[in-house]
Amino acid sequence: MAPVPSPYAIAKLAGEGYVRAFATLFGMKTLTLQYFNVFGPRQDPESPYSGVISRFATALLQGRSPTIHGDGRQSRDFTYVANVVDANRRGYGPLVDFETGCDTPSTGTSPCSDRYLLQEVRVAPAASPSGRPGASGALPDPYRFRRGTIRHSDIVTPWDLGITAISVAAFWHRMETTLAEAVSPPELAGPPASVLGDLWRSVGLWRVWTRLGIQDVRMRFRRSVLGAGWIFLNLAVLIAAIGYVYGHLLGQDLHEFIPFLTVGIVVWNYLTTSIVEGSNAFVGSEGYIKQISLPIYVYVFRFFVSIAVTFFINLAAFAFVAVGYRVPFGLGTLWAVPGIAVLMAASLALIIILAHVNARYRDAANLASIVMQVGFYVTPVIFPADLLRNRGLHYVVDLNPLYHLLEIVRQPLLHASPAPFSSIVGALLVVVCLSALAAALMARFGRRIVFAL
Amino acid sequence: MALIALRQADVEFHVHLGRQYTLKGALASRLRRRRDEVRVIRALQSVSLTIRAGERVGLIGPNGAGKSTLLKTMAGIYPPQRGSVRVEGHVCPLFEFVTGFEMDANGWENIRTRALLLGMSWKEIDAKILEIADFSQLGEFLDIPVRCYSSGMLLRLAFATSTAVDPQILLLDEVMAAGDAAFIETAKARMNDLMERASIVVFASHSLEVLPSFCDRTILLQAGRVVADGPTRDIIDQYMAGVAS
Repeated sequence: MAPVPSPYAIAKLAGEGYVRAFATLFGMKTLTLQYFNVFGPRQDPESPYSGVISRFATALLQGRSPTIHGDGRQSRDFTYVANVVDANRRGYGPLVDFETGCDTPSTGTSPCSDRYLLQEVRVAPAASPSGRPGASGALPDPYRFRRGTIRHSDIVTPWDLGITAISVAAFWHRMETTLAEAVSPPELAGPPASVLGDLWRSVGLWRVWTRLGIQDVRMRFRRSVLGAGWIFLNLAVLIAAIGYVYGHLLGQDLHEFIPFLTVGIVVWNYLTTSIVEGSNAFVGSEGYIKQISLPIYVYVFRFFVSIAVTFFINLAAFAFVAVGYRVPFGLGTLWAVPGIAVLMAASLALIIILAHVNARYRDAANLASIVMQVGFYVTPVIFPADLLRNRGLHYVVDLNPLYHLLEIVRQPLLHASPAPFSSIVGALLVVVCLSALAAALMARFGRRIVFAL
Repeated sequence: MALIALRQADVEFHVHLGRQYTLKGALASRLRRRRDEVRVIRALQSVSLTIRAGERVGLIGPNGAGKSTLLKTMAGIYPPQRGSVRVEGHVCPLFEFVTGFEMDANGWENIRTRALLLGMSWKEIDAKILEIADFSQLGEFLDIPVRCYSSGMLLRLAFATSTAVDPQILLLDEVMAAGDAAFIETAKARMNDLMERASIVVFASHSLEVLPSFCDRTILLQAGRVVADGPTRDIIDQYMAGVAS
């Protein structure tokens, strides 16, 4: 045996000597167990014999910094109380049945072994320790542990303490993480998950979503022989058919009616696609959302861009119609710019609303498109508002939010003059309401969308 | 410096068991006063860990232990309900290659879309797209819509694109599932190369033979908790001991 340079250790060793002597003199069966410092539940932290673990834990629980003597690199070995019980029990054999307080088989790795203490310790970080401990530098390597020894003077049985050793190592690891957490520099704790942060990051990725949105439109064209011409043709057929039939039906002057109809349909289509395609922004991007770490609003903006680009192409079609039918053009036409901006804000809000609701309730898009279909018949899209007004149905027009959104774009484009004040106010009110709803949905469900997909 | 730090992160899934996934269904059951049955699955429970630049970390544990959820939490896909997640550095997650395609777009467009979403700039894509196309070995199939691709072809396309990025943090979830033998060989080389370039690699795996060669450190998960965290050999031993008993 190696010489022991410690009076304390020599005193302990002397005990073993007595035991051995008794064994030889009287033929007594003896057993010596050498524990490391024992720790565990019901340990009195106030006791002068209490170890470093309970002292650290108590300090952390009280929000104090634990004092670590030395440079923090030194290590110390511990034995968990349940392992002590286990070792004792194995040592005594089945003669004595110990009440351990843990309802576990005597395997040594009792599941409650390190949890009991740690659940108390883990509260500590929330108690915000006032500072870092006296020692700087790394905590002891948690994976290095010495094996405890159990020596027999008489009975020679192979003792397998491997499992016990591992449970101590695992405990140490958790102790280390807990300590590291409690004293770790605050910057290691992440920022709280926030919708605003997501939104902000999404806006910052504008290159990504504008590219994707534009690519989506190009892809759509690629599929048809006519490319972008398809949009024009589609619109032309619609305008020609509706214009011819309804123009005559309603007794309208076609020179005024066709441009009127074109703007109406273009704006209406913009709102409808915002609802129908926008509802797909999250559901349709599920494959990306669950696989790629981008903030989810990137997908909303992507749809916003592709829908807006299509809208602008449609507006270009209107330019042809306007020239063909000599629609008045002047400075007043510029009122269309703020009008279109407001309309686009409404489109963005609608996309956000439908994207969220449709992620949770998959029939939301369907229901919304039915609503829009009804809206198409009651809103002055293909008939002038005056037709309703002349018949005393003012309220059908004036209370219709969609009408005002239409009007702030239609009026400047057709008459080079601003929309009536009431429509401007109405449209702004609609956008404010839609934005508030969108913001509420984002705040409520934004971070949880991925769980609904 | 790349960094991943989780502090007592909890991730829970709330699964609606009833028919409340449609508005009509929700309304109907509200009228019938049937309560929405929600089952809470606690996928991660109080997970704390710190991974620093230069580390290669393996994740092991039985099915449903939370390996994929942990990776997705690190990737910022699942926000924790409680606790915090801090990730510094550009993250490249390679989880599954079977989703996330624009089915009507052709191969080229899908390369661009995926590359953009993975954080490549348009310029970078222009510079790399030929190499990606070349590696995918798809040739003229790149001109047709990917809905006509076989699953092996989709995998090649996604793999070639995803591995072309320069990530600081690489999160891998047992990829390499399909593909013919020749492709698997080249894929392995490319994957190794990618892992060399990354500052942090976290690798969820079932193949315990592969782990020690890749990862110095391994984390053992069980029922959503970190059970052990240490040198790969020790942790695998502990895992095997647990499986055996």
